[in-house]
Amino acid sequence: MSPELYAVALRLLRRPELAQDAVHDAFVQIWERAASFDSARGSARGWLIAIVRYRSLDMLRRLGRRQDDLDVDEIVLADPDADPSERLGLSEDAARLRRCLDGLSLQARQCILLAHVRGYTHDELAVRLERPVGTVKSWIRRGLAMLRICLDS
Amino acid sequence: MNLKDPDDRNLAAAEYVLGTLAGEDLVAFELALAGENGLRAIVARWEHRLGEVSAMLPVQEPPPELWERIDLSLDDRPRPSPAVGSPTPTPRTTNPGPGVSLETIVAGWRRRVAAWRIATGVATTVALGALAFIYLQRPEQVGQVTPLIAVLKPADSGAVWLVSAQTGQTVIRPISQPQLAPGRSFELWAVPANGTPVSLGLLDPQGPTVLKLPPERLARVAPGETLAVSIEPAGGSPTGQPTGPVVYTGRLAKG
Repeated sequence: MSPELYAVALRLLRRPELAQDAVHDAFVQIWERAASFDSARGSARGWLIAIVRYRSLDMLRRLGRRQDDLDVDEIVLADPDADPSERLGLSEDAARLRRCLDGLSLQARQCILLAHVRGYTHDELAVRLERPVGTVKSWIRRGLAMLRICLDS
Repeated sequence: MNLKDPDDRNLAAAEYVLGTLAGEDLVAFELALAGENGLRAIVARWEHRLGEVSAMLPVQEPPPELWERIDLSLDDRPRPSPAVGSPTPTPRTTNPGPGVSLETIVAGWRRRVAAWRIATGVATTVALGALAFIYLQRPEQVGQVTPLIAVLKPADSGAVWLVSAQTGQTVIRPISQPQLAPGRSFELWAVPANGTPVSLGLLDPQGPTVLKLPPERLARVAPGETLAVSIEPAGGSPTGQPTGPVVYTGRLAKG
């Protein structure tokens, strides 16, 4: 799990020393808050990743972002339907999320992934995609609403 | 954003988890989250849904010194109090200076634990708490690591364990304070599909346990299998199979 957590922080913060700080702080929080974790409400995996993401996002907001950090390439997800060796490595939950993401409009998917993986804000997405902030917001909201319906069905 | 409206609430939770909630909406949402448990469950559900994004992206091995740093920070902190009536060891009050060796820090920590044991006596039953938490990694061929993770839930009570593994060793720390009658030990078991438990070693309820798990033994612990902790006579089960009550169980999932 720790290579996955570190990768999450590194994709958000882009710099190893910051990602290490984020994972370190997240583990201290996990230690302090472990008793409040309730497995009936969600997976331990999801919880751990969320703690690392919140910590990393806080740091991003606090430190500000270097402009060149925004200049990133496409986010390429492993495809559960393409390669049998990849499919074996993906959980059923991940495969379902992948299929549901694929069902979204290109813009909604792009916004949700850039926000999740790179920590883009509404404003940063609007600049990057050259669209008004309001448009970006409604893409995201519509995309998340559809994602929920798809994942819960 | 209207947190009274169920759909709006759910979308706000999704955006909170995604990280796009900002400004006044973020402040209002965090306030609501702090006060209201129903919202916490909606957030946990989205954390679970969206957490799978990172399963589809490459992993990155953190540098080994990160674990040392985390270990030192955790040693440096008081344990969170487990629940009603359970004692908490005195927290370290000063930070070790740069010249203090790791051995000194560990020795100091052990002394505190020993003093705490004498001061409080030993409780008779397994302590209060919520769940046990196991965090395992197993080293594989060519330096590749397949991390494993499990949540161990106790039948009626419990403690929290945090387990981390570096190459060749697995360190398990109790987070809240599991208590054990004198002359008893916690033993960790892997329960494979055929149902015959394999002992992974004894757990120290008072401090970190270092398990040196031989690869062939660890290889039998596969995702989807059950982990269990039983209470055994001091030194472990005399039969090689669990003889005492099983106090925590959980399933392993690939991390």
